[in-house]
Amino acid sequence: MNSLNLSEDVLKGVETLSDEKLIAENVFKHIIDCCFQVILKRKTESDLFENKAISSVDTIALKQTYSAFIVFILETMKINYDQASIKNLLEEHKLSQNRIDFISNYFKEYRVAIRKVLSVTNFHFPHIIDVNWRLDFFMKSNSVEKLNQPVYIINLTTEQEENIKGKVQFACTLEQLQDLVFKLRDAQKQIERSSIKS
Amino acid sequence: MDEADGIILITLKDLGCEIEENETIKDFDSEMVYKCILSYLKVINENKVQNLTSTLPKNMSARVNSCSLIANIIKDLGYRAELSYHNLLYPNVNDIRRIFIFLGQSLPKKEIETASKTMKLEDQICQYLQGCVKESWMPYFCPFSKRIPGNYSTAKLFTANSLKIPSRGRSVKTVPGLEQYYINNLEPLTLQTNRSEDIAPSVFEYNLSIYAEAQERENEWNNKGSSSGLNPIDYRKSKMKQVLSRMNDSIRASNIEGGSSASFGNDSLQDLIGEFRGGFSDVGGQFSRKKLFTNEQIEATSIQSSNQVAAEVETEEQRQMKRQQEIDELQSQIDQISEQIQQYQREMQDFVSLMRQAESENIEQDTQREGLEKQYKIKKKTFALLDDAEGNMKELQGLCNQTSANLLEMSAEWEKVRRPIIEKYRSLKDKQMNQADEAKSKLDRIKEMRQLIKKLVQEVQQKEEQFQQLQEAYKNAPKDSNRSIYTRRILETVKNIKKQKVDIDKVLLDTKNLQKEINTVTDTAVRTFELVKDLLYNDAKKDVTAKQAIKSFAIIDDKFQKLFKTIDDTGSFQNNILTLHSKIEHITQKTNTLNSDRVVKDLSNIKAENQNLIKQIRVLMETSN
Repeated sequence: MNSLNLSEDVLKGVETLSDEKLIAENVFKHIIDCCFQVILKRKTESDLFENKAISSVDTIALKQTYSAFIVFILETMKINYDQASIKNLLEEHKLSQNRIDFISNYFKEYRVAIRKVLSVTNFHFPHIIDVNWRLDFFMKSNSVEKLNQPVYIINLTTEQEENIKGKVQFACTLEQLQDLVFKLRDAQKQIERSSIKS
Repeated sequence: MDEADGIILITLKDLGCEIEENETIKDFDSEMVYKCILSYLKVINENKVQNLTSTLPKNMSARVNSCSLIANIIKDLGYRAELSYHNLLYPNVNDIRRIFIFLGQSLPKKEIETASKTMKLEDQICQYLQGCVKESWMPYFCPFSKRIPGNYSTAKLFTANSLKIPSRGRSVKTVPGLEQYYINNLEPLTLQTNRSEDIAPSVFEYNLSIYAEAQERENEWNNKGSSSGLNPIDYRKSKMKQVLSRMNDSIRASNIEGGSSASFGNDSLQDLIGEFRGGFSDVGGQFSRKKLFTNEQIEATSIQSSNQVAAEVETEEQRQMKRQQEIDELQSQIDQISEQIQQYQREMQDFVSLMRQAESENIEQDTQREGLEKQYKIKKKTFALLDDAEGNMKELQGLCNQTSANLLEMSAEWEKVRRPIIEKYRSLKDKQMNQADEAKSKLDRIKEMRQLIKKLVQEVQQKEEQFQQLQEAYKNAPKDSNRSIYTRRILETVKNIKKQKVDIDKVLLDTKNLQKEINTVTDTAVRTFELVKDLLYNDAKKDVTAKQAIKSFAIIDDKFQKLFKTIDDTGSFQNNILTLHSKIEHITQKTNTLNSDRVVKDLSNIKAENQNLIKQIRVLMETSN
């Protein structure tokens, strides 16, 4: 099964978060809130770093805890770490009980939303969004008097990401095109079949 | 029995059977039994029950078929008691309970969870594919955000930037300017990427790379580092040095290959770094340059002032001309002088080279002279000795002998000196070897200890997990006085058993007493019989009536024997009756659920079905004919 692998400096950052002298209660709440809201794009970083209440805190520590906690959120949500395990992990890194409760409430509230944000990133092939085709007919060449062969020129417009378009162009004979079409149909049927079976 | 039923019901619910709250095994009909057994078998062996339908079929023959199939499967699993299709079709509480218990025992324990999990994954895949199939096509000019979320068409590609998390560590103090950089210039993590969508991938990349590096380092340390005899920090330093030197070598090699045309011919990497470092700490250089610049200005001003004095005497043009002439003359003079200087320099060089040659020749001749002088001396001596050849020869021999004797003595002495030294050397060598061995063995031991530590850590973790599991189980377990109830019940049963034991003992004593009495009575009977017989025989010789008495006595005896036998028989019969009664009870319990009405109904159903089938066959035959 999936296991959580957090690097040393992230853990160090999380431990810094537990330091009650360095990071006071209201600052702590502000950092956690900002981490979640920035990931969900409801706030920007400037809300955190230009706040007056926070100006008293050491900038390096602030940046460190903020960055580490962002990593913490994303990594735990990547493998959908459950609530109890998150609490255990935080407990191991010396956070006090009410801070853990505070964090876990946020996790409860935003779990689905964050996983939705993460699901946008993907390894995928370009998505075909448009097709143009043209049928050429070769009548003769310098060596053969009568050729009469159809050739299909196919232009696929693809979309890798939003508003980034690519082009795929290829030529094929009638048989090759038929083969392609059959294979596509086959794949479609296979998907339908395996979606019903349960 | 109720508790066993409870356990069975819980497992059935875990397996996914829908059981109502108050339902017990007694209320199960054949349909329910079929479903439950099927769900058990699915977990135990999925392949065998693939052909079976999920509910009991309505067709009678199909019912019998599937039930007998299931019965066979259960028997294959190792079920010992009698089992065939009717036990399943007309279920009886005891049998069903036994089957459930058996199946519960043969459930693979962990598989319950994993099976359900894999099922979930398959379901998820199916759901996803169904979603894909149902998804309607959208033209690309539709707004991107309105396409189905989670679908690949809305996805961003996985592209990562490099990130940096600042921290107040040792490096902040050692590297100048790093602190300033962290405070003023380094953006927070979420702004370090080019696009906001890249945050998550970059974070994953960053985290995993650091984690992997740490792991790699630890692996190397465990494999190689621990045997090198250094502590981890020294090991890392030495490795850094090695890598640096290797990089230097490769850069130098490539420089040599690339020829001297490269702008910095033999700069090593360290020089480069040094230059770079020197670049931003070069405060003194700037200052000295400034100083130079001011000096130049002072000189320039003094020249200007002298020119102003000359201008007062002569006119502009004359002065110009004169100056031109002067400059020309001076130029020619300078040229001449410089030529001369060059000539002189050339000559000087020639002379120097000549001098060097002469010196080298001188040295050569000196050496030659020394050799020649030596030769001359030897030759002179030999010539002097030639006069008295024999005497000198003897003298020489004597000298030779003396020197050889001297040599021997010296060697003996040398031997004396040498031996203790060599012995000392050997012992030291041995000591060193021993120490090396010890070090090796210690290293081995350290390695073993390390492994042990790891093992122990793992064990501790396992134990902790176990402890937590157990604690959870303990938390989940009902706490209210369960134990006391059980102990009370156990005590009660123990009491009952004791009572029963006492009763049994009593009964046994009674039977023993009875047996004894019977024995004594039969003995006395036999003895009295013999006595009477003797008496009667004695009398019979004299009396006639006595003879008759003997006869009647014999008859009486016979009758008594018969009576005994009948009594024994009645006893055994009564026993038989009792056992039969118990058997009957057992069987009635077994068959009380076997509803004869239902069997008759099913039979009539089958008959009707059969007739239907016959009709169909006939119709088919007719049509085919």
